[in-house]
Amino acid sequence: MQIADTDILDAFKQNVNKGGSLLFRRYYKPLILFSNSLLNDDTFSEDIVQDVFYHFINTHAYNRISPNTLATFLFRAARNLCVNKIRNTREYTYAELLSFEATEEEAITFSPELVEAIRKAIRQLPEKTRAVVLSIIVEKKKYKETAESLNVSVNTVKTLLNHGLKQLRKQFSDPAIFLFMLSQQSCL
Amino acid sequence: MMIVEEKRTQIHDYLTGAMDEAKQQTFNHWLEQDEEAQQLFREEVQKFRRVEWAERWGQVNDMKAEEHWNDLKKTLKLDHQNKNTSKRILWLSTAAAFVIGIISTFLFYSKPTTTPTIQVAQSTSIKPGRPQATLLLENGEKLLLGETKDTCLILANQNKITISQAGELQYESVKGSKGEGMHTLSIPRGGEYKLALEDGTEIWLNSETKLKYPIHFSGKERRIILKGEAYLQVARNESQPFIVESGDMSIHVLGTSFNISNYTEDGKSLTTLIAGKIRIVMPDETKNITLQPGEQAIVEKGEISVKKVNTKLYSLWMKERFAFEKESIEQVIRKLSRWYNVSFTFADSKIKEKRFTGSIPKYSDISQVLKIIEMTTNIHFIIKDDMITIQ
Repeated sequence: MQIADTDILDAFKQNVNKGGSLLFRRYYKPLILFSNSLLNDDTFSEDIVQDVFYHFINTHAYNRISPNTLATFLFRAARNLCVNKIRNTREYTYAELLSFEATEEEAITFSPELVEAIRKAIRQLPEKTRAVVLSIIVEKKKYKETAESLNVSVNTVKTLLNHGLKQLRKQFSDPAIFLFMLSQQSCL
Repeated sequence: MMIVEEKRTQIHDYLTGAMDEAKQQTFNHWLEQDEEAQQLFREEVQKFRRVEWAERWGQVNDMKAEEHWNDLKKTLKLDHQNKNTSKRILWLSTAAAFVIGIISTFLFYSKPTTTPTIQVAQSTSIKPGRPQATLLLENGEKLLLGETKDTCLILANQNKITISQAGELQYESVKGSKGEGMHTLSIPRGGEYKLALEDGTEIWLNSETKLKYPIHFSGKERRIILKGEAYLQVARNESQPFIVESGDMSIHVLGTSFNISNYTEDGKSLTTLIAGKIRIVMPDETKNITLQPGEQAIVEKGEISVKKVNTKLYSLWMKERFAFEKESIEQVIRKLSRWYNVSFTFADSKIKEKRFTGSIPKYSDISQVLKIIEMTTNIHFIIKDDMITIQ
């Protein structure tokens, strides 16, 4: 059963220990995955997520926040920390900025309960297509590496990736999942 | 006109890292202009994320969530013990808005003649550095800034400075304030501190560093004086150039990020440009030089030279790590001794010339850090009190 944002905030009102424990159970993983995606690096995300939680609890943000905005608050805080981290070493590009925004939107609607549905949709893809999608998106391999390991041409990899993503879009807009996601969005 | 399919392919090429830098630039430019492409880009990013997160969901260890929650509980308990003091500071900071000059009493206060007391690490356990600095005001008063956060100070002449929630010292411009003076921020060995000037320029100061700057930037230029090591992100303002004086050289800046390391004991100063453009002005004007990103200017005995460097090595220290690439052990040790505030002695001076490559977590216990060096070199460290012998 998914932990609702209302439950987390209610728990905080009773006792910080209880609230914190629920908060971690619900948001630790999504925030780690989110920061990994933004930074393209797994090493700093743990610190970023820890900072987000520290700030949230230490400033008593749970008293001032409504259940509708909890997810937005947490992901925005993590995004700001990631952006700062990047800005410290170089200037970021327009495409990066836009991808951060899109990623944040996705993170807010993404819920643990969607995981199984998405994995199922991926498993239903034709074998080669699935292999390409996983290799490129999950393992973050380049076109060339993927082409070599699957023994196909780079152009085939590109085509299969495109096909796979299109089919997934259809799957993602499956009425049941779609309604579920809409209901999540309407909370914002 | 590109058809949707072509646009999508472009987007996939970008997202999978198949574009070189030139192509990425063209892509960014195109994306900024084309609204339809922006929409497509968002959709594709979101599909990528959805697949990535669903598949990697199982890889994030649930145990870690619990472990980290327990860590955080410990940290927060520490804060509980400090609750009284932090409340007092907040209350006093409100009061300070009304009572001019009160600030000097609630932070650690010392008369200009007395030297500030700095907590000495226990001799048996050598601790990494932490945020600490002494702020010398224009009237000669000294404030000792430790890990105080979220505080607002009104100085005698209506100047306002804030210590943010992140513990960063910030200057704000106040209309009608006529602060003329200079402030000096000194970071001791074993300290670091972050500062934001009135114009929005951000400066990270490393251990054993001194920075002198005006409270307000009036006049034609923004001029500051640095000794030691700092990483600067200068706010762009073409009509008021930013100038850093450091030793014999001065660095002229428009808006950019760069690192300066100029310690007397190192015998040379290194200026590393991360982004933007800077000009290094030497006493002998024929030696002036303009740096491009990724370049480092080395000033040694009045001579200047430029080389290409891995800028990461010079911009990681203000985050969590020290990074070294084929750096001499002597130089590595100097850095560590400033950060941990310890002394090292070389049993054999030949060791100084050995090289070390690697990155070291900055906030770890020193024994762990030394172990990392021992693992990759044939050097051994013997710790006794706050003296470390290198064999």
